[in-house]
Amino acid sequence: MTVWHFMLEHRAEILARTLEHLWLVTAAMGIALLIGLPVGVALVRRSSLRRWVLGAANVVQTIPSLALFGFLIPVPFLGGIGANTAIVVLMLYALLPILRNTYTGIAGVDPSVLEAARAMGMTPRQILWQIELPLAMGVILAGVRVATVLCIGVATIAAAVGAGGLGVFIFRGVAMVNNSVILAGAIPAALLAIAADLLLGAVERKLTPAQ
Amino acid sequence: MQQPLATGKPDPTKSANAFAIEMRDVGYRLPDGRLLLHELNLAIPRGQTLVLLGRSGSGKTTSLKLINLLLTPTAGQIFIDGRNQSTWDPIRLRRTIGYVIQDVGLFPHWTVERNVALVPRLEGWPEQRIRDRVREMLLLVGLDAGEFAARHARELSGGQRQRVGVARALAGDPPILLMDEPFGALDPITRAELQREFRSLAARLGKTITFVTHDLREALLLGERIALLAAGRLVGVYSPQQFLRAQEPEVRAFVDSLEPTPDAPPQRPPESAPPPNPASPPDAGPHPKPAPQPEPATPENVPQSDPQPPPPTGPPRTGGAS
Repeated sequence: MTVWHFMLEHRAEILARTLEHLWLVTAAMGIALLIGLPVGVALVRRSSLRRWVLGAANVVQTIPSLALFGFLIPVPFLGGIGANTAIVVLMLYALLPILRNTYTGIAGVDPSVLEAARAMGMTPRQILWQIELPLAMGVILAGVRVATVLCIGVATIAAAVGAGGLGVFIFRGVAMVNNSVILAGAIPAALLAIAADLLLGAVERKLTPAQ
Repeated sequence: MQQPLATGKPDPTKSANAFAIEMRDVGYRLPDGRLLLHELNLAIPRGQTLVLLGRSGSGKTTSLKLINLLLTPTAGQIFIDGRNQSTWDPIRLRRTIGYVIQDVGLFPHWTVERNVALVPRLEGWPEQRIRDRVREMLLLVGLDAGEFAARHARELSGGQRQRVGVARALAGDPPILLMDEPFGALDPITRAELQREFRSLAARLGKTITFVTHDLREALLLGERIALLAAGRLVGVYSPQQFLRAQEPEVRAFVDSLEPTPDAPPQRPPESAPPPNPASPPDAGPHPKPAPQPEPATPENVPQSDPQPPPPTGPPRTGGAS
């Protein structure tokens, strides 16, 4: 049975798994943005925090994803079997690129621009929303893009903790030693990643102020 | 708040003096203990252009940033418009003080128009009035609004950028203008052009201007008075004529740096015989129309036609009234 044949036959399940996959990634990215953007902004103001937070996010990134899923299974509320665990893990992975790029983007704003903004009587809040965030937008969005693509990849492993997603086909295919089944999960996952990358790239270009 | 930033609005708590800026025993020390400025006493009468002259690290930029509270003095007091600085809200204070720096600091993601409209918009002026004001300001600095309003900073030359910077600083109609080596990064020809225009603009607008430079020629050309700083201390305050004759070694060092090398005498005249008479009639200016008079002409803005000597210029070592 060829891959295409298999995919055609199981198109309903592939679609369902793809939606599951998207849900995991979207939920994780949403939470990661809610946490990462404000914390990233705070890192610019507080250099004492910076080392610790970025360090911690870095450490998380070095933990193999399968292990991280495993660690979380016994944890109440956050962990267990199912989508929750997956979302928490994906969120942790997405955090570093978002944090780092938010910090880098804002820290990279031309000091003379900030000096002028302060000297002309803009409040810190106005400076953040009208100057720093718009000017850092390109770098922040690049971080979001990296995080999203990363999440789409790591989410395939979420099937190991019963969170569903396209990883289900991959694990099943590995168990059956059947490449067609593996590819039925891998190909849509790869396409998702490419699509997300292109889409976010377009958003990035649109929202980045020409400088 | 439909009002422009009132030019020297009457304030009952204001002392009777005519100083727009007065610094009394002002010092600034970095958190690490280094002293950048020591017991600075300086008083700038309304409408006067004072040049803060000094070498790098002499404390001129520090002095400037203390005036609009970008830095907070660690000693002494500063009075703005007769009111102790500590009673001002820093944001309010800064909106009544225009600020121009060497790197301009135009917001790169905004058009020229939006940059110039910054303070009026922060102050909540009505849109129509902001638009008019922006045109007026661009015209004032010699830029055609039709051609430049929609451009971004990257589409401007260095000189044009600085013109926009000046327009932005003046848009809120602040009575005080601080300028930190505004022409320092420009090529010599553009610099000379902007210096000329600055002179006529300063004479027309009647703003109190504090101008930082390390260039004595520029100081002699633009300043009604020159305050020389060295190593964080005020050496003295001079008229341009006095400066050239003063005997303090710090002054001599500066004046000697003007002297051309032995075999180049023809270049001397403009510098050694400076005509820094700020009251000279404003040049016709580069604009076909005489630029509009945006000042609600307050009594403090002593007409610039007033012939000669700059107000209470003390002998060297003038402090403020302390």
